[in-house]
Amino acid sequence: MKKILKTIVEWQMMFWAKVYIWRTNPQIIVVSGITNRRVFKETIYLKLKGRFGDVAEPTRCGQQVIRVSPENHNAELGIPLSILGLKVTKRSDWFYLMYKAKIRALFGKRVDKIILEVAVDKPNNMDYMLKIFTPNVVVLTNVEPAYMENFGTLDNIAKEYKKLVSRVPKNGLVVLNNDDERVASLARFPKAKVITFSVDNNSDYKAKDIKKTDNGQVFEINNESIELNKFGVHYVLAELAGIVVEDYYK
Amino acid sequence: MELRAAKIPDVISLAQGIPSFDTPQIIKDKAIEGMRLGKVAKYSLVYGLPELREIIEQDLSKAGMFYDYEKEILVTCGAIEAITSTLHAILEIGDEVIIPSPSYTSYQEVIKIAGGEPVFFNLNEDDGWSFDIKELEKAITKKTKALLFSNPSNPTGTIFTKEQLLKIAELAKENNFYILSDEVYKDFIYDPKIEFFSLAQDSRFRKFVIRIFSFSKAYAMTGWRVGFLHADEEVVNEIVKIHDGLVTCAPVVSQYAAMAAIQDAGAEVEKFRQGFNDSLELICERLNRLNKIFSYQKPNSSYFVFPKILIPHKNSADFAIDLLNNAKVATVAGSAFGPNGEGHLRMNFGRDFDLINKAFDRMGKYFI
Repeated sequence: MKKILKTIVEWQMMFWAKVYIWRTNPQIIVVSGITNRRVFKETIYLKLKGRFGDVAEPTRCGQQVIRVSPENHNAELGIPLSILGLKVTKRSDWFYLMYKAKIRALFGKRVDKIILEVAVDKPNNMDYMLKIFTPNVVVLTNVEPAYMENFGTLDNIAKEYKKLVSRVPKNGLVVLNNDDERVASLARFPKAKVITFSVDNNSDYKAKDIKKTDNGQVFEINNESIELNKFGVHYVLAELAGIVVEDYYK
Repeated sequence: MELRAAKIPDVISLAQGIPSFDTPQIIKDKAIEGMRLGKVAKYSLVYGLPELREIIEQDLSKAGMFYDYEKEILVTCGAIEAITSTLHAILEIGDEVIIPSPSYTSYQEVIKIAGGEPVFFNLNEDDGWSFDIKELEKAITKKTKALLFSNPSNPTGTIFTKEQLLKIAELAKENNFYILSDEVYKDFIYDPKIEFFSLAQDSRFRKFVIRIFSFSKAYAMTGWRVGFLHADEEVVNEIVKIHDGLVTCAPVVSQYAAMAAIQDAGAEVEKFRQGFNDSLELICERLNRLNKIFSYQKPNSSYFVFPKILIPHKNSADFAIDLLNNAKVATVAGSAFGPNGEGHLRMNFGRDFDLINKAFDRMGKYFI
């Protein structure tokens, strides 16, 4: 009984998320990969927010609104909830949530961009998610040895991401980490424009002269010096991806 | 003391530092799920599961500590393995490691095992067992390689202030020694006015500070054996070599449990804290009734109280054994925590009310 109810809820959520997308036509920016998704998602959000603003209600001046998925969500419920901007609490009444999903889908205000953090933890996860949305921009962080138990090999994980990047339309953008061999190998599949970023290998956006400071690190990109108050090369990579996405939306 | 107590029937133990609560179900469920999905049978990467380290990095950054999860965070088999691996990595034979007196019993032992010499400096009992900077300065020599302490303190429950810690950090920088800050009790603070400070929050001292945390106390996971340390990449690089040789990796089932602990068990930690706060009030009230036998500094943290023995006695070890044999209450002799602990006992109030009351009823009868 519980399984039937779960299936009904998932189907409803998927349906209303699709209605919302069809009605409001937001830009869907997907951040995916095995690790570092949150760092990349937050960096991209801050960059876009800095450029376009982020207000609760769109103004007459056309100030744009960015919705970002609050946490790492799995496919079935998390992605539709993120698209609709709904939250699940521990005491969530699923029937009330389905009602809210319907109202949001039919009458909810438009957002200009939705940034989704997308995780896959089993084969064919991506097929399910791509039934809900078509990504306009995909950013791939890495394919590392984590969450492998359901996939067997890293190559099997990469196959899921191939589905994702292949779905981006011609006028979209695929942003790939060129330091990860499996991610870089996906560059030949998209119809969309592909831009690469890296710290080690050559790429379209390559960080140079990365130096550690007392408070974080500093590096150069496009003849500009950027200072980060965080440690770890993943923050540099996230910053590069953020710059790429920000430049795309200029 | 626990071994000795185990041989005597009907002993109430206020000795070993384990909480009375069980591991929260939400943590156990994650471990069970990991087992069910076949995720826990194999080794993880030597640094620990990347997803756990990512979560730790995010959690640390919320507290104003910024460390690279790939190279600067190491998941260990509890805090003691973190400390042991660190000491083996940084010490040469004969190097000195300063530890406060009193401090956690095992510190002296792991320093010696790593080939070092423990050097004590006294905490100031009259000032709530605070750091005495002059005492610390006297203990520093050319052989000093590290200062190791727990903050909040075991056994005194003292929380060292930001000012004290910054002075210590300046000394470490001047004299080029590491600070190993063992912060396993940081989630149990009973005075809401106190804001806990960690030296890992100040990037000026990054190269000198190695912070250690364990899931044992905050999440009632003493048996799971999982914790972590974080520090500058250079020193973690050396520590991981020892960690690899000692254990290969922390138990993977416990690493999955640790993920749930950080992400989902915040409410449980608060429940534990409130529970321990209530027990603290109880044990203080019971100690007050024995005010001719014990005096004490009320702890601000952890779940230990460190009362001073007021009545004539040979030494704290004999006193504790006497209490065990005659009142059937197990405590830990203060001398086990260093020379300045002599004349004290450590009592664990992380037990349920019934046990604490029974223990003190027995002590009350014994001391009449």
